[in-house]
Amino acid sequence: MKLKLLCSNEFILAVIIVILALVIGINNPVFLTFGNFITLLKSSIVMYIFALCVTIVMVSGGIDVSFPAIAATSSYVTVLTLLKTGYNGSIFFVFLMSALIGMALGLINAIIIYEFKVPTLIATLSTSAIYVGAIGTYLGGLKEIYQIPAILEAYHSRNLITTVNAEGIKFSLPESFLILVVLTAATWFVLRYTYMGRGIYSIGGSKKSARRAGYNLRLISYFIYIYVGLMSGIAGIIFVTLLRASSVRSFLGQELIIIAAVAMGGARITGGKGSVLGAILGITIIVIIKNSLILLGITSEWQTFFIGVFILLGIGVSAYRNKQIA
Amino acid sequence: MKAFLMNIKKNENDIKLFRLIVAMLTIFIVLVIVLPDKFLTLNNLKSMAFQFPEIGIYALAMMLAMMSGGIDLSIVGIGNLSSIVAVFTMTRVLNPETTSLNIYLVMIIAVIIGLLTGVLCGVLNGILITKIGIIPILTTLGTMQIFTGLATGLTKGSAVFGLPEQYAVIGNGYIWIFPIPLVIFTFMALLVTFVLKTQALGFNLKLYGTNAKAANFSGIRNDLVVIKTYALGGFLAAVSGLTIVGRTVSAKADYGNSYTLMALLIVILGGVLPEGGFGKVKGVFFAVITLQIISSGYNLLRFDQYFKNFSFGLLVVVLMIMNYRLSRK
Repeated sequence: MKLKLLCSNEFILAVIIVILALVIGINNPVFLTFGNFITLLKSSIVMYIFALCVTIVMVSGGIDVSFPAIAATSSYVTVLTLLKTGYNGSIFFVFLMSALIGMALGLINAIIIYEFKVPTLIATLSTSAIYVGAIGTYLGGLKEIYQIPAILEAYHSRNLITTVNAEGIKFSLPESFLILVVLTAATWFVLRYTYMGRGIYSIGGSKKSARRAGYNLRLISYFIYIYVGLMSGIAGIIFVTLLRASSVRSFLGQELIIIAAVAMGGARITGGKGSVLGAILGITIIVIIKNSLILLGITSEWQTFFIGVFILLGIGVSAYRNKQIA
Repeated sequence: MKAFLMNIKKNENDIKLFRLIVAMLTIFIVLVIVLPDKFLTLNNLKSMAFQFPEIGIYALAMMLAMMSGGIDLSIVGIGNLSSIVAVFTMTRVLNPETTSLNIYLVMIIAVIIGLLTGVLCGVLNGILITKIGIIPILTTLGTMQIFTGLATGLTKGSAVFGLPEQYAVIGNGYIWIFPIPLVIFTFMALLVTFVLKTQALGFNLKLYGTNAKAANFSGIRNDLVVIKTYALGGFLAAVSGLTIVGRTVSAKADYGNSYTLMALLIVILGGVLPEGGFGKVKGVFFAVITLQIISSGYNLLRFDQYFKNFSFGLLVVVLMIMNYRLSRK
């Protein structure tokens, strides 16, 4: 049992994170301060939510690249609506609206994927082009909105923790961090303890056996993509409040790196394997590398290269082990 | 004609190709009618012939990977890295005193070095897939970062200039009335057709893509097939990258970022099976032309990039759904 824990992917990732943190911390003590920790956490809330989306789809044996497009679309439409109506009530309804739009877009994905058996990567690639193309064409999505609605502006300044360091720089953890915690717990719970979760693992292992075991594949597939839509919609609004701007373009192009990070966390792209914890650890490594290589004296031009090396190392070690076992 | 139609009925894949050609011709005719004095002009046809070869060659590389049951997300990274290596070779060696003859010599050597870089990148992909056992999509996702990252690091993220003007011919010149990029694309399409139709690699690749286990038991060295396939893909990617250099007379780490996913969609549109084993250069050819017709038509109609993506995504979904219904019959 103990050996199993030590050999698990999650454990190896945790060790890598600790080593990274120590190496960077020794070179530059700023890294190990509470303020820096909060800054890193704040900048990665949206990435963590996206990682949850990727995990749940990957466990089911699919690949979804449409979550940034869904996040961009639902948050953009919501922001436009808020600007038009001047709504200034509860922030809950803002998130609800974006989540509902996300769910509707997720439903479209589910229909194309389940009813017409279009491979997930191709289906979501096409729907991304369609969703972003649609807002670009019909809602002027090329423009970036720098004056976000008052209600989102107000949410931006609601923080859980605020600390001030010796030099008087303020670090604050936004309230939206709580949403991440709730979504993480929910996804973990669903995957681990519910009919849906067992069904998702089962589909990922083998569709045929899942069907024979009595799982309702249609229900489960619809659940996966609608749930991903919901989380993407929420992540979209969080992104807008953190950035204090709505820019469709800044969402796009993140999908591949997040998929790679989640795969590094032990999720198998062919399905049946993966965990929320692994995904979180995988993203953490990417976030640390992205934000902290510069503290090691590696200039930002080499960032992409090192992220690639770490991804291949992370995935390669477990892949090579599986190959030896097989 | 009758024999052709009879033949079509027999084969599902031919029906797909037939549908694609019908879709292409329909769009073409509609555009000719809507834009009578703009679409069918020499200028427009010329600019079309200069635009599609770059992405067409990338799509050929993607097709090879997909026929093996894999995917190659690193093609654009390979293209940019190879072209940057080639451009560096040229700018480091050449100086204002170099004679014209020597310029050509250096250009040829630089292009060969660029192509070799592409092949090496492809071999690295193949080794990671076969020897380490990382599945293709993750391998190429990682190497895409590595190749792009190397290119960014080497150039500090900015464009590299200083090419000899002679090189621009590759991207902008003509051989008789044919634009050189188009000629390059044609050669590459013929090369891939030749490999697939007459070489052992082509045969083994199809068998491997259809059933890797059966291929292994029939004595095919699967590892070598995969490595060679990705190496050929790397070569094609480098060719495309070097062609882009000819057009822009510069090299940059992030040229043509959107080409990766576009190439994937083209390949799917061209009837290549995502699960591997089947693919035809013809299909990819018609798919890339269809895309170019749509894209040029939209430019003339002053539709923006977003509407282009929108309708291209829609086209792929509709075709995939039609293919699904076809396979159920």
